[in-house]
Amino acid sequence: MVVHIEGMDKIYGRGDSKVSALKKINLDIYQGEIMAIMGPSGSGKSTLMNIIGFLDRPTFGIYEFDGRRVDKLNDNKLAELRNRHIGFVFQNFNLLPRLSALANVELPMIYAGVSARKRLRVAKELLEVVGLKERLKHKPNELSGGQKQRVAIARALVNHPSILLADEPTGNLDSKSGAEIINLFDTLNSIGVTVVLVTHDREVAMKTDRIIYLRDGKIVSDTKIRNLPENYPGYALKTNETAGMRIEGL
Amino acid sequence: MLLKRMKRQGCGLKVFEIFRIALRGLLTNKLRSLLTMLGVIIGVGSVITLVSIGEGVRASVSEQIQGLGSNIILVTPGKGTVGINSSSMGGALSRLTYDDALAVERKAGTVSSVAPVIESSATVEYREDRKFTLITGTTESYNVVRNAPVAAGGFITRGDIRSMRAVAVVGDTVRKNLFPGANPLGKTIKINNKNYKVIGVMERKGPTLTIDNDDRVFIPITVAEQIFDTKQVNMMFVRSINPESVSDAVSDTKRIISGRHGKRDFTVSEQEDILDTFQGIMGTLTGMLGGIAGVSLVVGGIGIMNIMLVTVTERTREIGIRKAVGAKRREILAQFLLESVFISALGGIIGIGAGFAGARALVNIIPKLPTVVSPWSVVVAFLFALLVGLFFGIYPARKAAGLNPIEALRYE
Ligand SMILES: Nc1ncnc2c1ncn2[C@@H]1O[C@H](COP(=O)(O)OP(=O)(O)OP(=O)(O)O)[C@@H](O)[C@H]1O
Ligand SMILES: [Mg+2]
Repeated sequence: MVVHIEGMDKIYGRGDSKVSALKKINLDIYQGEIMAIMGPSGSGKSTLMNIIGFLDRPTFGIYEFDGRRVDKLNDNKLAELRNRHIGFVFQNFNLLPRLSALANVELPMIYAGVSARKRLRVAKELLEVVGLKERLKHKPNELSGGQKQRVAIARALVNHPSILLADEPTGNLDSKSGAEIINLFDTLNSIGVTVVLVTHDREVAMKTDRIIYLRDGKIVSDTKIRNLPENYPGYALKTNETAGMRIEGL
Repeated sequence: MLLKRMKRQGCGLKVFEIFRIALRGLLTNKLRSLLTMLGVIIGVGSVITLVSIGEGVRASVSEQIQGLGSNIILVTPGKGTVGINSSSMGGALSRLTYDDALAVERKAGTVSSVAPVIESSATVEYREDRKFTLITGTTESYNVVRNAPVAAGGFITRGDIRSMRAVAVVGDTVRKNLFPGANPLGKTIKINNKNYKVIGVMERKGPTLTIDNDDRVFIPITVAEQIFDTKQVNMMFVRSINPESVSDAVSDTKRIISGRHGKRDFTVSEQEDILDTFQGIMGTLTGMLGGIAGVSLVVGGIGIMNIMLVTVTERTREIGIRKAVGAKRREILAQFLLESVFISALGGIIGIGAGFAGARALVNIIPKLPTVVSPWSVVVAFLFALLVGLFFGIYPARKAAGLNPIEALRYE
């Protein structure tokens, strides 16, 4: 189990303007699975993703990550966890506009203290993995939406995250490049990356292992889509060698 | 301290990277960085320039005072602490006369000679030319005591004084103005419409600051007493027989004049006292000049803070992204703090150049104003600039570091 959440609440604001964004959430995420979170707007999907990804803290409840309590950690510890264990992919890409694709992918490694040579090597490899071998020096505004999202995915992968979190990663893309991005997630998952993605697209969700449905901050359904193997959870995650990530058809 | 802590955690690499990120931030908006720097440049430049004026005046006047000779004592009328102050308030308060000077010269065994002076401004004419200049009535001791030899002819003699002869010795500037290209010796000039025969020309002394020491005419002291209608001397220069006997000469002088006046209504000061007082005054003045210029550095610092606050707001999203991929609070803090320190450091370096240039330019604009750039003013101005950058960078950097990553990512 990568993530174990128990009785978790998230309350924004206080007094009259109090908003209960998440209510009594219980959720386990297993290593190697690919999971979709669905639900109407305002149901708390992004809130849940932010907490899983250490961008935010739960108000109440237990959050264990890799078997460790993390719900009360300080900002520094959370930053370190984000850096080491989380890969984020956002709807609006969130690339640094002045940096090249390569430099954007290198960014998390800078904060991890990786040497310049290794940064360059890993960033190049991962851009190749996502099919952007020819676009290393391009700035974000010289790339299409789909290409930008690939850069963001490469960036999310550089520190070998335990989980790849994608909040509506295809929301700003046309259906064709959206489908390509989803295929990319699928492929990454097939080589062992744990993926959680928020989507409004039923078809996309149906391709995952499992769908969580949120409404008004509560999980109203948790459905297994694929028949998982006997010994589930159980994909061995290759975290040490990105060199092994060679993806067919890209 | 911040950087040290990062280093201890084995992040020397990261320190270097954050340096690079900060530098890149500075370079993305070159014009803005330069304009912000301008405040620091002007601040540091003006501190160095203004202090160089103070230092220059101090050095040049100190040299002049030391030029008096270490065995010179100054006696001025009135009771002050030191010659400089009391001579200005001199006048009516007490009488210091030629006779006092003669008495000191005659009675004090430790004194070799005394030169009293009566000074006043008057119009000097030669044929069609006229000029307003300083008339110094003095004795034959003057050119010995003040170490002011004549270049041609002779100086005033004891006989000139006794007989109240209408003779004059002209300074170099007066010679140039009234007798361009001609020999003044033996010519007749008019001082306040009275005729004087020129018997000598002084050697050139050169200016002290803006004061032209050569713009003078010397006449016998007795003649000066008559035409200016006064017995009061402005000051007297007393020369001791040797440098070792200065303090004895001081007490002898005090005793003799007090005995004649019945009270101590005059001031006796050694060269050292004058120098000390003067240096003290100049030190205060220079400090004030530096302080005033320092204010502009603080204003420059406020400029840095202003721009850094704008930068932090503009780059909120960037901060959010950096935090989302794992930048820690102190890494963001260091990035923005370094940016403002870079601005002030670079501004400081350019400002040092500007200060030197300003000091040099001033000498060209006002030729008599010597400027001396003192090393301590350079060091202090630069360190102060760094401190200003650090101080005014803290608030914006803390603001950046404290941003909530989710809100920062959502910022548009
Ligand atoms: N910073 C905040 N302060 C107060 N309330 C907030 C804040 N962030 C989110 N909320 C509230 O929490 C609830 C859940 O928001 P969240 O962004 O998680 O929804 P979502 O499911 O991601 O919606 P969407 O599909 O539109 O992205 C909403 O009612 C929202 O108004
Ligand atoms: Mg959302």
